[in-house]
Order: sequence, then C-alpha cells, then structure tokens
Amino acid sequence: MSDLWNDIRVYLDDEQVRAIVRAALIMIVGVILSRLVSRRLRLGLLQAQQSMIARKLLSTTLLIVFFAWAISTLGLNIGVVLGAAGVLTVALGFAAQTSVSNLISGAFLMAEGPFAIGDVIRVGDVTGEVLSIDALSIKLRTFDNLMVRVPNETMLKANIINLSHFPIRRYDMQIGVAYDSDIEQVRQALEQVALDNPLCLTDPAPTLIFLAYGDSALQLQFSVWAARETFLDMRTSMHLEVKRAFDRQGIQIPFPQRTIHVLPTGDASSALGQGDIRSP
Amino acid sequence: MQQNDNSPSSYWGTFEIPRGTVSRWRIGLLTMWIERLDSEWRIATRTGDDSHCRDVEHTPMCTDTDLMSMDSVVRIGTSSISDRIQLTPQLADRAVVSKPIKPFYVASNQRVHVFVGSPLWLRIDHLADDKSSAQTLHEFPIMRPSDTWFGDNTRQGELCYASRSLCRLHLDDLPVLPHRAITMATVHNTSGAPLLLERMRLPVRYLPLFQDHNGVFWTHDVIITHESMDAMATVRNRRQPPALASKAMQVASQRVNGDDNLVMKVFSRLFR
Repeated sequence: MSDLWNDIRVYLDDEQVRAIVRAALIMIVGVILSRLVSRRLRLGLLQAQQSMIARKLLSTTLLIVFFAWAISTLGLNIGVVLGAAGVLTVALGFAAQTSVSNLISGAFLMAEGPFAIGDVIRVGDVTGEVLSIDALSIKLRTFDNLMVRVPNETMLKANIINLSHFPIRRYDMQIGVAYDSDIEQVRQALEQVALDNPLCLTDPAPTLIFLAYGDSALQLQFSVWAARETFLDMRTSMHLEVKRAFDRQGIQIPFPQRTIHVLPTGDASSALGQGDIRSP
Repeated sequence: MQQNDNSPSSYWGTFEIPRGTVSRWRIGLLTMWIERLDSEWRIATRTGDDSHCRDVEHTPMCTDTDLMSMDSVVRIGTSSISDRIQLTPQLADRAVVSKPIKPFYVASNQRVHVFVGSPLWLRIDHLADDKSSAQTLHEFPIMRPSDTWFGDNTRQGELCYASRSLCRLHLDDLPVLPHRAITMATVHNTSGAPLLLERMRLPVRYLPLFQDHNGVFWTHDVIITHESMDAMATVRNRRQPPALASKAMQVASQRVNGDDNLVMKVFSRLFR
C-alpha cells in the first residue's frame, strides 16, 4: 500500500500530470457552470423562446472559454489551435452556408418579433399555430394536426400573415344573388342577420359592397367583424343564417346559368322552332 | 317620472327544489329549467324571439320536461345534500357601449342626463344547508348581447357589449324590461368645444345593481366629466342609491372593486 502511495506521489510530482489534472478540473467546472446556466438562468425580460436561445448561447460561450483556458493550462499555444480552427471554420463555412443563413435569419426574426409562440400564421400555403421558434427553423402545427418545419431563411423572405395579431378580424362574405333581386331587400336581410348574431360586432358596422355584374348573379360582398377568438364560429353561423334568411324571404342564390337561343335555319326551322333553353 | 304599468316583478331570491323535481322560470324572452337530482343539478335554457317580452313567471313544480333532450343543458355534479339555490341578477362582465338614436351635441360647459340600458346576467348559486357558503353553479346572460369594439381604431381598444337599447335623454323612452338595468349618466362637458355623442361606454363592472319597489333594475348614478376628445374622461360613481329609484334595494354588488373616480375613454366616434 505504501508503495502505491509513493508511486502516486511520483506521478503527481510530474508537472505534466499536474497540468492535465488542472485542465480536467477546469473543464469539469466549465461543464457544471454551463449546465447551470442552461437550466437555471432566468431572463425575465425576454420571451420564453428568446430566453431559451440566450441561455444556450451563454452556456456554449462559457464552455468555449473554459476549453480555451484548459488548453492554455496544458501549455498548448492557443493561437495555433485557433489558427487550425480558423481553417476548419472556412471549410465548414462553405458547407454550412444554409445553416448559418438560417441562424442569422432566426436572430433577425426574433429581434423583429412579427409573431410569437401560440400565434396562428400563414406562410405561403401553410396555415398553422406556432409551436416553437428555434435557431434554424420554426415549427408550425396545422389545423389537421400536421407538423411543418419552415426554415428561418424562408420565413425572413416570405410574406407572413399573422392571423391572431390584432384582437378583431373582418370576414368578407362573397354572396351572389339573382339579377331580379331587390338589392335593398337583400341589404336589409343581411343587416338583420348580422344584428341578430351576437358574435358579429356592431362596431365596426357590417358593410355591403357591390362588386360586379357577374355572369350568373349580382356579386356582393358583405363584410362583418368578430373577435379573433370567435371568428370561426361567427363565420359559420353567418353563412347558415344568411341562407335561412334568404330562403324565408325568397331571395335566390343562383347557380351558374347559360341562356341558349335556338335560331331556325332553313329546313330545320319547322322542326326546331325558336326558343330559350336554360341549362343548370 | 311615469312608471310603466307592466313593471317586472322579482324573479330572484332563494328557492328550494326537492330532488327529482324541475322548476321553471320565465324571465322576459328567457325560459329556464332547473332540475335537482341525486349528486347533480341540471340547468337548461331556451331563448324566445320577443326581446321586448316583460313576462316574469315561476313554476315551482314543472312536469313532463326532459332537460337532457335540450341542446343547452348544463350539468353540475355535487356532493352537497342541500336543495337550496339562489338566483341573483348581475350586471355584464364587460363594459356596455350605447348609442343615441341620432348623434347629438352636448354644448360646452353643459350637463345632460343620459339613460342607458344594460343587459343583465343571471347567477345561480348552490347554498349550503347552514347558508354559510354559496357555490356558483352557472352564470349566463338572460339575453345575450352583441359583441362590439370600442376604440379609436381596429388595433387598440376593448371588446365590449352593445346595448340593444339606445341611450335616451328621457327616461320614459327607455322600455323597462326584466333583463335590463338602467343607469342615469350625467355627462358634463367641461371642454371648450361641443361634445358630439355618438357612442358612449359605460363601465358597468364597477357598478352595483339595485331594484326599486316597482321591480325596475338600476345601477348607481354616474357622472362623466369630459375635458377633450383626445383625453380620458373621468367616470365618478356616486356611491349612493339611484336618485330616480324609489325605495331601491341592493341586489348585487359590483363585479370589480374600483376607485370612486375612474379615468378611461368613454366617448368615441363611429368607425367610418
């Protein structure tokens, strides 16, 4: 036993061994500190996602600093290490262009804050709830419960429509009525439906806009407002109630129509005659 | 002040509903059934079409009613053996916005009395046997008012309820209904310019509810002092029974305790 202790003392007396032990201790402390920062640090002024990314950056920086300290303790020239790292970085940089672009785009998105976790956004043809805003991408949950990953670079370049940013939203109902409809009667019917629907805001008031003389119908737009929380319910209920009101008052919503004129030509005139045929 | 002939009578208070029985209330256009079962209360409602109906009726033992067949039934489980409930009318849980039939001006340094109708909610509490505690089973509007937005633009403002009654300069013009409370608001324009009254927001959550001996519901009177269109107005709660309500009795306290003087935006223009 005493021989063993003597051997250990001889080893520890060696300067190199002491340097390795010091470097290991520095790394252990660095790892512990980095984990503490990553898990426990509270950054109250930032949003949840920003706080998480800031903690990750801080803990990574701490690790790098302690690593450099450990390297220098071992007597290695940190400049040489950095030089080698620099060459490696250039090589990696070329390979990681997209990732770096996503990283930087993510930082810009976080700073600008066009949306937050929980918002419903539309990017291109994808609509969904924001689940997370990560370093390289954002994650959306679509309403049919699919997970969509959108790279931050795409987000920065695209038009992002935030459907839940403002507290109220307008819904434009596209309605076609028959050409022989009384527009004033249609207006009154629509306004009464909006008045009777408690989810439809009285202010801003509903608005009827004449759009066009369509092929088969008069094209109207009836714009109504609702709180964003009840928007879907309002939308559905308004369509049902408009249909019921139109049915009660005999206001037609026509389907596409074509008028065919049959003209007599020569011997065919006695057989076919002349008239109008309306086809559905 | 001329009282209406068909003033609404009281429908609120404490009731006992023995197990296995159904009680029915009609409060204006609302019909409500409450059934007591072992370990359960069931509450169902149905809303009629006539918003000006003033009928108030209570049928303690109602038969041949299957609440479970109704879409609106609410079921609340309970382990309490008490069969006593308390019905309490309450003012709305948001501010109420009212408009005059036509916008009018309040001249500079003048006051006008404006009468505003607010919708009432009904709260149903389950009373413990010793009446020491009450647990709220359900609360709902007697007649669901429309949502409305109050703000200078569509980005900033507050979601409120729209009063179905227009705000009136004469009390007799305001129909008395069992599901509505009246507030007398004194609008005092201290600015140097006429105040155009197009929309007015009343913070009813800060007001208690009263009923007079004719069965009409009232809130505290308020005084609204307007200094300029861009500034907030001061709403002062007079903290005394309404001046026009004779022998008023407090029915419910305010939902939110606030200062006697509230500073808030009360008037706004209509969206154009």
